[in-house]
Amino acid sequence: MAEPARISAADPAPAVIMRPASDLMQPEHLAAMAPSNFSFSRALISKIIEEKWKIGLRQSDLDVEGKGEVVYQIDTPAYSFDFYIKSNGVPPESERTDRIITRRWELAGVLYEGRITEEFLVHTRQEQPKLHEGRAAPGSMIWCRANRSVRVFNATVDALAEGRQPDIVELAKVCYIMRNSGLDANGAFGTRQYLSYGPDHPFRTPYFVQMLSAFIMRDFGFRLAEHIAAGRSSKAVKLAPEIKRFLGLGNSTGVGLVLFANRHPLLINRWISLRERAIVHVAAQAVRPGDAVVGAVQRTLERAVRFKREDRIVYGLFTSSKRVGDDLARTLDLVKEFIASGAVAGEKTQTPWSAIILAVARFADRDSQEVVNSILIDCYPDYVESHLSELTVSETMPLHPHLRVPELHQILRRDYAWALAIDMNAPNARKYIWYKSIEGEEPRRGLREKSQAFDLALDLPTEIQALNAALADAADTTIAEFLLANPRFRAIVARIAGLKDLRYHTVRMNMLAGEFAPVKVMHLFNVAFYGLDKAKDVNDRWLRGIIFHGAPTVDDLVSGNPNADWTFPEEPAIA
Amino acid sequence: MNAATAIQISDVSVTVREARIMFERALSTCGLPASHVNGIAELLFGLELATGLGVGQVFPGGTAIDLIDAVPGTPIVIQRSAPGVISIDAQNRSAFAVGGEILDAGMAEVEKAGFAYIVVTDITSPLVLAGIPVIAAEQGVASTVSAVDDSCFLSVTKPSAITQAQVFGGEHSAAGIEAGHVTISMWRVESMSALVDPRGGFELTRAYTNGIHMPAEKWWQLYYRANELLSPASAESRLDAGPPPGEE
Repeated sequence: MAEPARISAADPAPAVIMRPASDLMQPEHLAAMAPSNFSFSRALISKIIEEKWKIGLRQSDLDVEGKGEVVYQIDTPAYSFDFYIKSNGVPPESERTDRIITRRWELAGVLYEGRITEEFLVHTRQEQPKLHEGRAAPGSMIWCRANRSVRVFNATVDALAEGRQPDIVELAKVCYIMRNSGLDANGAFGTRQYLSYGPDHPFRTPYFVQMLSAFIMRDFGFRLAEHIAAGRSSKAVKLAPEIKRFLGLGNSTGVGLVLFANRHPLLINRWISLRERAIVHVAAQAVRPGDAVVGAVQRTLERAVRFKREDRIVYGLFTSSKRVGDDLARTLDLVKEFIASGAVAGEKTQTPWSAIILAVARFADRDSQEVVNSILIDCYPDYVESHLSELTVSETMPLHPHLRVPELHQILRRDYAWALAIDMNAPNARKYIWYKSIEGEEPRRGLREKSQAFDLALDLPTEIQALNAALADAADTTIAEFLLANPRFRAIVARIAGLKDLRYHTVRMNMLAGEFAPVKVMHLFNVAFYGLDKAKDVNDRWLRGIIFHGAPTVDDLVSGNPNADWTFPEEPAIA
Repeated sequence: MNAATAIQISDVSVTVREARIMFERALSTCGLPASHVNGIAELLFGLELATGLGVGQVFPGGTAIDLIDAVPGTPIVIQRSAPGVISIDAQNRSAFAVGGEILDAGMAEVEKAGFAYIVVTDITSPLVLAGIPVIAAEQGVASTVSAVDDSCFLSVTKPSAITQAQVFGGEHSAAGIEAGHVTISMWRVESMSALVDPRGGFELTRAYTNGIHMPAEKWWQLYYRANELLSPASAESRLDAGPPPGEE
């Protein structure tokens, strides 16, 4: 299974290879994966900068409390879009929540392909407040929502109105003033699906439409704070550009991503495969101490060490930033050693990244190792850029009804040994059921003994074990014939057959178990896929982090000189 | 920006993703075992896409069909008279219960013989099988399905670029097929391009682009039925997700 790296035969360093699924697909390892330029938010910012998109506020009609409507205009080289926002003001405290169950959004937005029309406005004003019982106007690409941060939005407005910048220490405990409350696209509520976009469409890559919406909601949060402050006082000042860059958009996530992981094995496989291939590719690069890429790795590591050491967030299940910062500092020492001597850990090498990856594995926490992997990937932006189009994946799985029973049985035992090994009769092995509430269709996990809900969980271990027993007794026929006699296995057989040639498709979990922590799978999506920083687990099923932390702002794009190297931002030094 | 004006939405454009999700949820509320839900939802989705009759199969006469007893039953009987030629006696079972297996059997014959000619007899809810052509096309297989129930004769074919669907109310005797009978022809095409409509790919591709148009009443009927899968709201249930109280 392992794919050897292409390393010079003269180089004594062992090769970095694609890691086995038995390790990588464990929830603990998936949760360790760090943001990289393969993360959708970062990939979008790179595209915006590279293609010189023009983004700006075209129309604003807000009252002194910030209620009203605004329209942003986005022009890419080949397409134009409008982003419509309805700003609703703050609901009573008792109705405020950042869960999707809320029906009171302080901001609701729609990205629309082309210039919005009066017909669009009439339709959207009527339908969007209904959310699940509403229908998006034709041409709508997303319905999104956001709320202000209870902790720091008002403090920011107060400071600006008093003619000063907000307290950085307090801001840095949160790192956002506006928080996403829903990004519904790809067919939800009648919005356009990714697969309807043409091959040259700027939002062809999954999640780009959500990420652009998040980027604009972040910007609107700044403008809203400035607008309300200006309405209060003639002394009001604008939010400092360096503070705006430091602040991202907040994002909270519940357990629904675990159900999503079950339904999208092909997307997961593609994304993780691309990242693994990138690590192997980078590790194989022969470089010299004076090469520009070595300096880039050094500078990024220096930023990362400082970033981790400045981090004020306290985590639960996940590794502390102090530990990661210390591991990165030791990694930085290895890079400096290579620059000074051409050696890593005392061994001369032409492929330092391979040597560093292997050396780091010996002393660093898994979370730290994955940060190092991401930094190395990100220092080869052309490689990432050339593979981003592969993130678009058809999720149709072939049926393979002609496979024969012994072949299927072999595949099952090869790919699902982990599921066969789980004792589903153990205490707590079936502790939970998974369901969706009528409240905002919020996915939830409850105690089986107390719940009458419809169970939406994928009990893969039980299905695999039952199929394994049935295949052991079955005749050597096609699986089509096997299923005629054993129809209850149709779904699990289709899944196994459809994924048989792939490696990284399934999270190796018993999602029913008492000891399973959903937040680990949620961390994979939020941090590695979406690109959130400082993702804090509030308990084992709730995650809150920051998207676009340090990214250029709309004003930076307008200036024509945005910083493309924006990750690991430094706390602004403003008195 | 001007003040809002109320509008009436009589027809809705439903996305492929929504339709699939709602079919799956609605079938789950009808008591269909989880192992069958996805396969049957795909057939109904194909039927809706080709003919607009998919939702009507779950809600004949506006009432959701009871599928709880649809799956258990006498095993269906398959006889192969020649390579690619099979007959299936469905033992008076529902196409909801055996549709997936019939599709699999046909695809297996296509794999072995290059084609399949299938006669299905003694099957209830036979129109469900008319969703096969759209689904098989995704696997590079062309097909024609002719199905008869008590009220209509339905023919769906995808031998080339465009799915052709014809519905003849009460005219099935003229087609020479008895009620409860389905004939299915399937064959592998040389190239997937043979199944692609030059106006925009598969029906599926067009559905991705333009949505599936249906009367609003029909959509909301499916939507509200599907939502019966969701659990009622309660304070206790609310604690099964999200942060602890006071942490939001």
